[in-house]
Amino acid sequence: MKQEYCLLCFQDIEEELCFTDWLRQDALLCGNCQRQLELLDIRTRIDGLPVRILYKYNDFLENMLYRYKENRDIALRDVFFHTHIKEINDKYRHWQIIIMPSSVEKIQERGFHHLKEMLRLCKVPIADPFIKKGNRKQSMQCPKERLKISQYISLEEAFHANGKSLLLIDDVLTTGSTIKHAYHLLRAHTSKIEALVLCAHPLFVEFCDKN
Amino acid sequence: MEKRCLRCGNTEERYFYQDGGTWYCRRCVNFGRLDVGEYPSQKAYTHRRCHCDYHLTYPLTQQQLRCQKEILYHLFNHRDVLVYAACGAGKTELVMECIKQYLNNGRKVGFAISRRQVVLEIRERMQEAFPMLCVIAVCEGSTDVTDGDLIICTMHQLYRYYHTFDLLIMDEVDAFPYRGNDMLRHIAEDACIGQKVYLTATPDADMREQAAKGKLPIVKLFQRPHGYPLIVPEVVCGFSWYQHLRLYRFLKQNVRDQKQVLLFMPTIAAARCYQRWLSVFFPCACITSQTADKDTVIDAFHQHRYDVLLCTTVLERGITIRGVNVVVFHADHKVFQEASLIQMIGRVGRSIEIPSGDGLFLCKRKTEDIRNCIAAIQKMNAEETV
Repeated sequence: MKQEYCLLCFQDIEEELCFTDWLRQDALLCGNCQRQLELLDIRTRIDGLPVRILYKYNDFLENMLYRYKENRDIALRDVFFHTHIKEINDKYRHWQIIIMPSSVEKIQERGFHHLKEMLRLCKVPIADPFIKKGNRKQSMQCPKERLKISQYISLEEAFHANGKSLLLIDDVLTTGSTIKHAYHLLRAHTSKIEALVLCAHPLFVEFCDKN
Repeated sequence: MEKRCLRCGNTEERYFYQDGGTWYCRRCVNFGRLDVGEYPSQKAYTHRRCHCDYHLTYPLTQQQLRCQKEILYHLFNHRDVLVYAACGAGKTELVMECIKQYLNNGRKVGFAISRRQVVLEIRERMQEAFPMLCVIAVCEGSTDVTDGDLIICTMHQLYRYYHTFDLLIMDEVDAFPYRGNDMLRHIAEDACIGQKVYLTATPDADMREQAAKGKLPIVKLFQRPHGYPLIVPEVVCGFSWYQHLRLYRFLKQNVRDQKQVLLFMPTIAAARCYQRWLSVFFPCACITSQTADKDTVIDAFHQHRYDVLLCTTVLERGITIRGVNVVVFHADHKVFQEASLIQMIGRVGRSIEIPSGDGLFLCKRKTEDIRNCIAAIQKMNAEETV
């Protein structure tokens, strides 16, 4: 069904829409909101893990993520990967998606797993094999504390990759310690691992540009 | 069955979204999700009976004392009050008496204003006047403490205070974002279980109508504390090149007399562009809604580091700069409505030391809004002498 109005600002969807979106008629955000997302599409490596970053974590995206995750506005779930979902479905057809964990408390409080809902329209099988202990928010930690993530995240013992390549998906990448740790845990299970993150902190992007 | 949000009163279908079996309202989801049928949570705020009094460094005028009495009279009769006072007439001082009375009776008092900057300024003034109270400011970037003896907050933050205030004072009700915002109006009405006081220098047609019908008692104060009349701006109509000449002349003249000028521009782009152009002639700065460090620029202007401050309508309200003169460029632009024009010219002559000044409107032609603005100021000046 075609979206009649912008999911964020409730304006008419055709407001300031760019030509291709107007033609395709599948936009979820109006042109004004769409333009505030800063598409980066950077490919970099963290400890040898190929990482693809889609957007910059700017104020606009921060507010949108806050509205979705903390204010529990589940209507926004399809917006985040909207322009890339088709590409993911095609390119990673035979892969296995691994999402980064949320603590049980957080999922209960929220009522949904934010990454699972974001990837609702994804046809690639999704697994959530990590266990996160305690309601520790990575974003509230200082860089040094962030490195201790290995104490909080562990892999389910029953996990088996079945020979598939793995695609790690997370929403926000700040220092990269979570995804790095996940990579180390999974490395023994399969030969090929890639990562896709929705957005990265500007400082991380700067760091990427330098290297 | 018609769905209805119990927080913001929304009934429009497109703002609702279904998650599983429950619907929730997306119009006010930024205040935290609230499912349809749920009431907003009512937090327990302290009700301290405090024996307080306020101290001002200057005495109130006869007119101000009269208004205070009138406001109290209406409030004690359980009615909401509209205080219609000229810019710089001391609206904040007028409500101190009723704040004191309510607090002494152990009631909860809130003060809501549209903009964050003004919240912080009013908090300072209230804290100075009521040194024995815990006055807190609740606005973006300052939400750790939400309870105190006297709460100053932005209109948006009122969602935290469902059914809380016995007295809610709302300043600048005719300004963005409160004006015409159904959601904020609803939240404000739900925050107050007692009486409301609306403060404004430019009541909109709706409020004037209510006052005329006698539904909303109105208290008027047009005399500024120093007794000088409001400044009536000079309106200059002419071609674009003539406007530029007059602008340059006015600025030159003021800079020679060591006076500062606030120059209002219709758009952000124009403000930026003219700042570049004018900085060739005068030290000037520019403030728009997108300026990150507004406070530092305004501080620098207070310290006379700039002669000219270009700004959009963001600075039209609340700000006081000693001895400043005002120019409105392209006053016939559609963003400059009557209320805006009155507020902008109200920046002139607010301090007791320099009670007069000049105002200049530059335009191609006199619009209805300009005419109404001049008429309103002249009417206020005329009523003041009665």
